[in-house]
Amino acid sequence: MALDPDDTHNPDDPHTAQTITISGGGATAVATDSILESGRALAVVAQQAREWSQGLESAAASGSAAAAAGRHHATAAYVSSAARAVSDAGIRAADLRDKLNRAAEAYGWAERTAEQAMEAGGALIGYGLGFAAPLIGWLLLGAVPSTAIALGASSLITGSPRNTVSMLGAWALAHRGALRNPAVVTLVRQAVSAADDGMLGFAHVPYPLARALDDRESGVFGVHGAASTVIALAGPHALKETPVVVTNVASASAAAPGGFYDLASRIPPNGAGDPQVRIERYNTGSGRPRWVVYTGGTIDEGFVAGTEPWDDTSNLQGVAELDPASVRAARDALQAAGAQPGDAVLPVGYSQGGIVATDLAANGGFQTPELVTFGSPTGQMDVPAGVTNVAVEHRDDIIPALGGDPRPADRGGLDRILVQRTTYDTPPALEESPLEAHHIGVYAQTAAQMDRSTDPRLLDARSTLDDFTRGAPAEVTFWRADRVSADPVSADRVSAAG
Amino acid sequence: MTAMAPVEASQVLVSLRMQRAILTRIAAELATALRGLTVPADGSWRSNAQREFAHALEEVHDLLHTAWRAVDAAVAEIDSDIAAVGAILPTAGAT
Repeated sequence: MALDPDDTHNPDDPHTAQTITISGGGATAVATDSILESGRALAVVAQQAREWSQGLESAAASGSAAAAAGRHHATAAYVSSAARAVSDAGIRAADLRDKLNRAAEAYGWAERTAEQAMEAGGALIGYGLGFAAPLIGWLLLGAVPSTAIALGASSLITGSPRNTVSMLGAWALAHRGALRNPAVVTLVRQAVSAADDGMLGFAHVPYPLARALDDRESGVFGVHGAASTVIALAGPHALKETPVVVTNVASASAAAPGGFYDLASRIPPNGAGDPQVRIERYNTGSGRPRWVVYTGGTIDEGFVAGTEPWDDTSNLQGVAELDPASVRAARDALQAAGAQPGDAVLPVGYSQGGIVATDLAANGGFQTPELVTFGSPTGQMDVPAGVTNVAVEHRDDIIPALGGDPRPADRGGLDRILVQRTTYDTPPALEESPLEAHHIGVYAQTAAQMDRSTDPRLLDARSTLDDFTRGAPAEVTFWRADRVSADPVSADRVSAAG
Repeated sequence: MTAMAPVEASQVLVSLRMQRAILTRIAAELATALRGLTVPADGSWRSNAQREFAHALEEVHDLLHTAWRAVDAAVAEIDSDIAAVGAILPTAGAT
């Protein structure tokens, strides 16, 4: 007797509450990976059931000679029982597959409609708040006496106004885990998306014109316009760019990445003084070499540029789609490694590294078949059509939300393949770090799920990666970039120390 | 068992082997399909619709499992028939 297939079922397989959800990439349906996988398995059963039925009929006919010889007593009964079960299973599988497809389509439609409603609402509220900012200012001024009274009254309990403020700060700190609530993350995304509307409202730009300039309609102003305005208003030093110098600090060799987990694992860690760029050169045998470039997240969180290019100045310059130091550093490192304009480059980025990767894909002058980002605020950054953009975002990670809502494909945006996952089963403790879901290690776990997925979009994306490297060994170089004094940006240079 | 002449036994053996080949292929395909149909654990479901889906999926799974068990039992029967018929033939192998 053959091994019962049910005995090989692995209950620990990734079909848990934390399973990935895949959307975009040309499909209108939205569902969790496990549901989609069940749908595909049901489609196979529905299709194969007909073939099995025919096969069982044919087996019954083949056994007719044995039956005539009286050697077929129980076999015919078993075959007949199997035929009935297979036929029933086929009918039910087809029915369930159809229902599942309709549900996934409806869910996708509902999600898009809800997003559009929230976008429109957010834009209107943002515009209204901006328009009414002077009035709100007066109202807030009017609220000062009552706030003072409340502070004074609470001081009777806490001992002093300083204690009250200190306790409020401690309360906020103790509840910072709330920032991991997916609803809060969505609100932040909407608030960021509406920032440009607020600015246009504040400038009293007529609402129809503000909508026409809006990121979700035309991308003319949008979050990048709002970020540019913040940079312009930030004074002579804050958020201002500097030249960078890049240095080759180490070399190694490696096998070609086998999937998304390998891509996530190879992103340089965010350590102060460590190399921020990893470049893999693939000599695939014909023509120019191909390159995979990896960059990581923010290292310095200051708003005035120091020596670290992976800082908040680069973050905001990147969201504004200007020319951040981190992007220039990655471009310079690629050039120093031997990449030439027009070469095939596959950028991979985590957090701010996703901004760098997206900028390389859009403006690097390379041929980019695929772009992979993990936890990056790149929702509103433009990516050329023809680039397969795989964006991995945790629903409880606030960082990708800071890039705002992506512009939908039907309004000029790229139809990116969005892979999402909530990283917890039960809500995390409120005192837990709000950035717990942003760690690259947690994104690597999601990447491992993506490698196990049989979703055709992810299979295609992995296949593109395999075609790109052709399994050739990689020559690896690591690059360290530093900002130099605020000379003109054209002073960027490269040094080769190793 | 009905008495069989060697020529007749030889024909029966061919037909049994053909039948066995078809059923073995179907059993393998059913096993693959069963492994693809993962019925999610109860703990991950959050709504009636999801529970109903899991239940319906389980029904399909059970039907396929019933079919697989029947085919597997048929193959075991055929194996025993092949052994018996093979014994009638002076030089034929059992399987």
